Amino acid sequence: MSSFHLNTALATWRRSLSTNRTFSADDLDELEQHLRDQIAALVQGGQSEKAAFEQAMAAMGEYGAVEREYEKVYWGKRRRQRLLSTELQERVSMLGSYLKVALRTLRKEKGYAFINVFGLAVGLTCFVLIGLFVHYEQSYDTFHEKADRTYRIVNEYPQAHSLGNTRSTDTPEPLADVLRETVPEVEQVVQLVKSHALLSVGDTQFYEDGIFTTGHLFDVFSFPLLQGDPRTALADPNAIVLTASLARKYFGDADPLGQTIMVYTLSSEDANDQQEMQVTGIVADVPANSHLSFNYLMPTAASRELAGWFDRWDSNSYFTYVALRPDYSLPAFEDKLARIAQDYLTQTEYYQSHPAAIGTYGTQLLTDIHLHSHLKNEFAANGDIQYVYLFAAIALLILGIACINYINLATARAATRAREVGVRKVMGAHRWQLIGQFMSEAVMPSLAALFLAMLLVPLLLPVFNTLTARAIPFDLAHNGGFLGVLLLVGLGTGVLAGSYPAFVMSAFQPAGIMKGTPSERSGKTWLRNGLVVAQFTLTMVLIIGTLVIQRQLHFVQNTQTGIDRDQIIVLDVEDRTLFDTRYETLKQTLINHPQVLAVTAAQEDPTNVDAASYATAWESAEAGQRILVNRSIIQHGFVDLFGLELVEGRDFSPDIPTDAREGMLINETLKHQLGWETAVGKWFNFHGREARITGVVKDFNFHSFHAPIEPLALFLDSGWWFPYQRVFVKVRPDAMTATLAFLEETMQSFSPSHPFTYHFLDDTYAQMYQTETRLGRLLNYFTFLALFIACLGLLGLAAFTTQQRTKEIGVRKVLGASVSQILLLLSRDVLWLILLALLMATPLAYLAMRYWLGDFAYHIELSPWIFLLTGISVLLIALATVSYQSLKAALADPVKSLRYE
Amino acid sequence: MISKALVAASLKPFILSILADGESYGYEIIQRVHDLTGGQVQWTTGTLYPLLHSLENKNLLESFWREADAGPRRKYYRLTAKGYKALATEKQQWLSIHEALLKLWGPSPTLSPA
Repeated sequence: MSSFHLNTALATWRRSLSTNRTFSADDLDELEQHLRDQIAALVQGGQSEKAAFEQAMAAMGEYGAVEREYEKVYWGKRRRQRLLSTELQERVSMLGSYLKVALRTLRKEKGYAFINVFGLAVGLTCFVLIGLFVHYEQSYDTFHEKADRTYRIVNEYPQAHSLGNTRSTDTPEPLADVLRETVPEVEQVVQLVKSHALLSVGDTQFYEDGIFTTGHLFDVFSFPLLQGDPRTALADPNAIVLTASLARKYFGDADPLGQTIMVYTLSSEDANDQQEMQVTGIVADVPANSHLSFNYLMPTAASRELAGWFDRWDSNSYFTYVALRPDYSLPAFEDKLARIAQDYLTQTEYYQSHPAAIGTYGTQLLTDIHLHSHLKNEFAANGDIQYVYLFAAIALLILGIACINYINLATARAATRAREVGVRKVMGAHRWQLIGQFMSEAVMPSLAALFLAMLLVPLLLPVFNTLTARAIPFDLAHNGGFLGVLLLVGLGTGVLAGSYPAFVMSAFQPAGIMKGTPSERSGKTWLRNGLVVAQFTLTMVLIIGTLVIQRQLHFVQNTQTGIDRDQIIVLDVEDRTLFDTRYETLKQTLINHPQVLAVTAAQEDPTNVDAASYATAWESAEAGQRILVNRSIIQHGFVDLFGLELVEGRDFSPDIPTDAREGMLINETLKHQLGWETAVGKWFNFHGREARITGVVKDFNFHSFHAPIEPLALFLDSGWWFPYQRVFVKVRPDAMTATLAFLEETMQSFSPSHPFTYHFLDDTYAQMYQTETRLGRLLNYFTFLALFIACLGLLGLAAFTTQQRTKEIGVRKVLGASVSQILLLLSRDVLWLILLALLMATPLAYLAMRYWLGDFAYHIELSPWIFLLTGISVLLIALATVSYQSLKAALADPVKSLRYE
Repeated sequence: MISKALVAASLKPFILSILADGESYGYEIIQRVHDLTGGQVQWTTGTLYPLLHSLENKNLLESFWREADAGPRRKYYRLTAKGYKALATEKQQWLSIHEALLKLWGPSPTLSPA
């Protein structure tokens, strides 16, 4: 009896089970308590402890059966417990191992790691830059508090010889008061006119851009006044409000408020009449993403140019903006606008005699102006939603190309690790551990790429800003959503790249893999090839687009526009007294210089004639007929200097005095629209003169290539005040610096009170295609990057496939294959892929470019050469990329490749 | 003695039904079954506990340790909502078999040898 100790017996029993993993301490506690209960009951029934213990043990079940029963529920138990903290802990501890192995793999394959990380980083950087641009373009004018209910009034009026109405920003002055007083929806109205004036304080004098407006500006827009009272700042006709930076420019650190500034507006009746203005307020600098821009504000009442044109419904000179009440209804407001046009215009004398000219007023949301507005006389050149879409598409294309690379390389590399998967599985790795391993190997470089991109973006943003001519800020605090998207893209790419090895390979049966590497050439290659084709299709679309845009730009800038633009210096004449008496002397002085070939003057650059008015009476005109004719007032020598060709009649001559009064040159288009067989000698009433046609010039492009050539009339000045604003000087191409110095000196001596400003005609001409030029340049860069990334991927892939076929190449060489045969073998695959990509890219690019070219009235034809050239060059680049690897493999000593393993 | 197969089949409904009365622990469950069947049904410890654990894995039961004021610490089991549902199904199945057999055997409670 005494030899049996229950506790010892139980402890022994317990120890025998505790080595078995199926029994947790918790299970043993439970079982032991059961035994103790049972034994206690049996002892109470009169049995000895020893007998009770033996009976309880017997009730446990057959030897080994308990273990088996527990084993059955073991996995279920594990699974349940893992749901709790155990799983988390295991995962966290495994994460360290994943990262370590991932780092080792990356280090072992530095080349691939570099291609992966760098390619994706470049792609992401492009994506971010373009994303910022797209975001910025859409942010225009959104900083105004009432942006969602502020509208610009659009003047829509009919025009002869053109389809539909002309839509313009120009509206009449009395419209503001009518809107303010009779339309209940209107909260406030402001009108403004662009201004350009010489501002001087002491010796500091510059030409500045500003606007004439009223104090209502501050009620409609959120341009905060830093100093001064918005209610009274523009009340006095001698008041001027400066932007903070302009105030600093003129007054330094001194308090600008109350200071006087001399303003010389170009239209002053008396040339020496400067207006003395008093600074009444300082407005914050206008944000870069505003379609309105100004350096100063002056009251409309201060403008002498506008003075004669107040209160006239037939003079459209003002931009009109309305802030509507928060509960406005746009259709109701537009109805009222249309009624106002009807009611007031029909009461106007001019429209009573020209009822066909009566138009109507419409609206345009403030925030739509920058991207969606193409009205006549915009405040400044706007952006274009088409380009925003285009760039968004490019961003996605490049990101797509980079992601495809990443995925392709990662899956290709992972496939070589099938054996590793087998070994890991044999060693007891769970499937989810393998998934974790492959996932972390794929996600880690993608996060590294993301990080690299975030470093590159702030570095490249200034360059990008120069290219796009924008001032895009990089401000993470304001781009939080953007950062989220990026993180998602980075992670998404990693996960996508990792999912093939993670989910497909982790399911491999170890026995199958260990017997031999499953052939990589059969299974998944179609997917990878498909992705490569997609990649090169995208790249080729980009390349073709770039080529077409470049060629169109070249066409625009070098094709005969019918006008000679080279070596012509344009002097801006702001001093109107010059033409009163001194022009002929100036002309003689200039022409006497050996470098100067010819001199003339005109109202505007002949490459961009802006002024137009209606002609209503001419020989054999029908009643009520009218034609909108562009006009420029020119000086003698104009036709010669610009190399215009006369198809009929003669040029103006200083020897024929009647030319100044009634001479007129017209272009061929106008002649055709007038329906004349011959033009010379016929009378034509235009712009207040009864002209007799002197000659007809061959059509030349005096607008941008976007628009077809319109009617044009050229005539000499006959008392129209201040008609000339430009002196054109044709010079010899050499010794330009000396020539410019001479021109400056001469101009200074003729009008000493004005700064000398000039430009080259071909420069301003190029500026007309700035958007396209900029687009072209950006496209160049992005296309290059896209091609670069795609080739980077191809390089990696080629290296991979070549390596996979090392033995095959060895065997082929041993059997007598030549280097060129092997090169062909290895390049053939790529060849097919590129050809397929070209086949797919051609129609895509063709449609896209035909759409873009449709925007130009004069454009190049899409020749098959562009497509062929793209295909051949991409093919060559791709082959060159691949051949490095192929050559290496083909030249390798077969002994080495076959000895491998 | 009742056959092993039948005992095995009745394990689950027994456990669920007993726990439907209130929470309990392994030894007590065995005792109740023993008492209820007059010793006809004898479970081995080695089958009861794994079954309890497996029912717990399936979320029919939940377990917790209870410290008694007097006496040792025991692991108690009780039914979850899912367990109650399983019991209802189990009951229905047993009753339908029971009824079918009763119909075959006629109204007489005594079995006549065929």
